[in-house]
Amino acid sequence: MVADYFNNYITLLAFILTGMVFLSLVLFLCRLVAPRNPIPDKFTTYECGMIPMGMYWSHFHVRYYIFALLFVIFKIGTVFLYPWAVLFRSLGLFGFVAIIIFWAILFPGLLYAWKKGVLKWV
Amino acid sequence: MNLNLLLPEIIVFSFSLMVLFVSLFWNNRKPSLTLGLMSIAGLLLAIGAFVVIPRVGATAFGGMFVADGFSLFFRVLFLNLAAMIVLLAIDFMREFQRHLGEFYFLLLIVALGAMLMSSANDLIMIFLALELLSLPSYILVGFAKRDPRSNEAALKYFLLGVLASAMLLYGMSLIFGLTGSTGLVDIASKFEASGGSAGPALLVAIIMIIAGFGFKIAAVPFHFWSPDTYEGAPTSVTVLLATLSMIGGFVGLYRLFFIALPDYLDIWTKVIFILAFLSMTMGSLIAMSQDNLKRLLAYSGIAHGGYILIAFSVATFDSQWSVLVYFLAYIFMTVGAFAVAMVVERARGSSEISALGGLGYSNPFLGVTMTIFMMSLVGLPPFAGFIGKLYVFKSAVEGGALFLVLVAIVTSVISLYFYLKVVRQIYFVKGDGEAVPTPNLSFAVIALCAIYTILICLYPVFFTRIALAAIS
Repeated sequence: MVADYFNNYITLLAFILTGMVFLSLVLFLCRLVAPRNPIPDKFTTYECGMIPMGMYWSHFHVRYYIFALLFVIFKIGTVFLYPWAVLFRSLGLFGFVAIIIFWAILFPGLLYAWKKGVLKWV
Repeated sequence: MNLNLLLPEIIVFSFSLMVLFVSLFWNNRKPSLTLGLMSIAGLLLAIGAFVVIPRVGATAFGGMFVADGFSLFFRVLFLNLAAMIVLLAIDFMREFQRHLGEFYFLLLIVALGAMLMSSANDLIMIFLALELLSLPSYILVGFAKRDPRSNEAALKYFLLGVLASAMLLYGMSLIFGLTGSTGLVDIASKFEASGGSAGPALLVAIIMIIAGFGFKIAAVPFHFWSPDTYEGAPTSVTVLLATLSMIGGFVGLYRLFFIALPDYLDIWTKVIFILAFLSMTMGSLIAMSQDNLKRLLAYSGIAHGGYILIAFSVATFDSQWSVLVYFLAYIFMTVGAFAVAMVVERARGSSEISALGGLGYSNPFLGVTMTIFMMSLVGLPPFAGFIGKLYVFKSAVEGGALFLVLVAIVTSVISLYFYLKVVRQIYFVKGDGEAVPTPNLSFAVIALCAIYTILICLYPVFFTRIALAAIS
């Protein structure tokens, strides 16, 4: 049983080895074939030529994280609402009740964030 | 599907959401009291719900959730325990003006996680219950967010906790890989059919799982987070960690090993043997040099975890029910000791042992009850700790673990020193003589704990009968 268990991982091992060999091979080929022309502009942060301002090690405001969380609520809402709206007629009453239950679960999260004043940018 | 089996859990969850939203929409003058009482109402209603649901043997969610005697015992125990912790928290959370709704919400969710853990009959369920137990407690530990020590405690607890969860999950995945099943009963029958030879994968799995739970129950050598976290967390949360969270870990350990891996008893009991030995000795020895009451209680909790692990390492029928009695005793004396510590900490602004100076004269009630709890923690009769230790040690001697019992007795004697250090501070050191005001609710909890601490010793038959019924 234990031998079986580890034998299952031989495929995984093969994948890892193939990946490593393939990667080094491709990088090597790239080095061999690609033209090299190092000019200073190539080493700037943005390829479009924009000059970066300030330090890259700057802090993000913690509010962005909360926005990211809120975004999840809206995104999940959209992901399920849109297909439901498209098929509204064929899904009928069952679909309507299901989506109401779905929103009854999702909406309190938004309500909570709203009452906590997260939606306001002071 | 038997959804009505989960009625208590459903009630607790609904009340937790209700508390959260009431706190958002209702601005009253005493938020801590109203929200706390609402939480207690939910917990009591959930206890009442056990009258309605069928008693034994039923399962829900395709066997993931089982309602047996063991789960009944622990679900009711956790509900009562959570109610006591909420009662204590009401007085002490007043100083936190904001986010009180979240506090009670998270506290109820921790109780919910512990309840699900005691009914879990599946690896996935055990892991989810453990996470439901852990994630809110990480937040609760850092609840005093202006206090750097609270932040430090939360970060330490979180980082080590995540590591432990990962190890546990890895162990579980190995077991799943060996048997192809996540149901505990199923795993046991698959192992039995395979003939009981343990390969290296199973050994790794057992050690990983013990490491994961060992973190939760703060067993040496997985205890490093515990003293710092206990000290830094708000004391209302420290009680939670020392009782609900710790016992939740033990319950998960019990479920997994006794139900899924009874065929490999001789392997995992040996690992637990080492943990028990280390926890008892290290916990007692390091506790001797502690000056902070919360740190002292943290190390005392580690030592008590060691005594409980003796029963796990013996793993006979007698040791199983006697450990339930030990849990009952441990809960009342620990909650009581922390409650006194909380009252004193708030009045004198310090949780050092020296803050207890002269407490026996300025506040006789607190002095006497603290002495009772300390004596009980040592294991002296006529208090609950004695009965707990008596049954566990007796079953261990009968189960052939004489060495562990000898170590336990020696460490109990050592523990006399640091518990009596607290009592000495209360009676033989002159304090500033200032009275320590005891809030009414805390008074009630302390009195209740003291009464039970004595009652368990005076009339143990009642409690042992409950424990026996839970196991058989």
